[in-house]
Amino acid sequence: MKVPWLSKDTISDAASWLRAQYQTTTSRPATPPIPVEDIIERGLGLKLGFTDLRKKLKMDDVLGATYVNDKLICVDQSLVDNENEGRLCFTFAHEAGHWVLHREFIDQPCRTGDDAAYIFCRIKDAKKPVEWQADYFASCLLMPEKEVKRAFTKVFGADPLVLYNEKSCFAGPICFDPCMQNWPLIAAAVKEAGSFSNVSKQAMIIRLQDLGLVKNEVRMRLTWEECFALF
Amino acid sequence: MTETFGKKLRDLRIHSEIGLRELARLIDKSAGYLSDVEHDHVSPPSEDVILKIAAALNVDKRELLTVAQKMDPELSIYVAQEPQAADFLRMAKEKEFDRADWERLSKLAEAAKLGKVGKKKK
Repeated sequence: MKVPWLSKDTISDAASWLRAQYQTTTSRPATPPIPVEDIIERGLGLKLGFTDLRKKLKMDDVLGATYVNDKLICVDQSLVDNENEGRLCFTFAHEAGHWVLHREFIDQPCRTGDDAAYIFCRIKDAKKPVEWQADYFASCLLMPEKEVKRAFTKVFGADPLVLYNEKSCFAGPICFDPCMQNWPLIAAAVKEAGSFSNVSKQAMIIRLQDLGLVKNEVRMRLTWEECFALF
Repeated sequence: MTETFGKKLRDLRIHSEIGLRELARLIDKSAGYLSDVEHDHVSPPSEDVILKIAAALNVDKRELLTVAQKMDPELSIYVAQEPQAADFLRMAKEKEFDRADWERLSKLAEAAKLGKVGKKKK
């Protein structure tokens, strides 16, 4: 499916709009952990479903599908069975992104059949613009910029963390060393501080980089030999 | 078009502000199963499960039992223990009692003060 180019700001605004609309409709706060299932059901008025999509669509890497005519968002049963809350909620938010951003672009002839007008999301298609946009939407919806920045500042202060090294220079827990190896610790700390309990550490890492709160400069790192040469 | 069990359940669940996964947890069923029920991909659940759902959603069990065309297990037991009640219901079915007939009958039973509950001992 071809979709027009959308800027990050446009996608972020669309996610903010959805949270605001949910708050207006339900009089409930859309604060982390963002109630994405309720946003889909009561905010957007869509049906939610869990089904064996892999079997139904005969694709072994499908995670979710948005059925436009049926106003239905379905996720693959395996995501529920694996009890990976972060991945499940990200898939919900991703499908909500398709509904908000892309439902108008489904080819008109496809709208004739009940089952025909749907967008399905496969792991192998992750780099396609339509999937990237839905991923970015999911990221913005579940991790609002303001809340992420507030949580980050609470733990690490106002300045961004710059990672120069892949591995920590410290052998023990002497102090926190911002490096690639400590990505999971950084993400977990921000998650904890901001109550992002339905977000995976992986998604948080990507969001932190995207917001410029953590800068990965490992490519600029010095080799050990270069490092020792300094002393 | 008559309302399906799945649609009724979904409407009540949304109104109760309970998520599909949360309800599944509360009634000890899988989210996939409950999703199938809500989309009418499977028959309505058993009476016992319907009672659990009604309790979890804090709704009148009759609403769900009626749309599922199932009988309250308490009533089944009562009818089984009172043969005359079963005979009476059979007669009502043969005579094709409608809603108005049942309403009249309820009023008559009330006026005649039938049953033990509500009677004051002197």
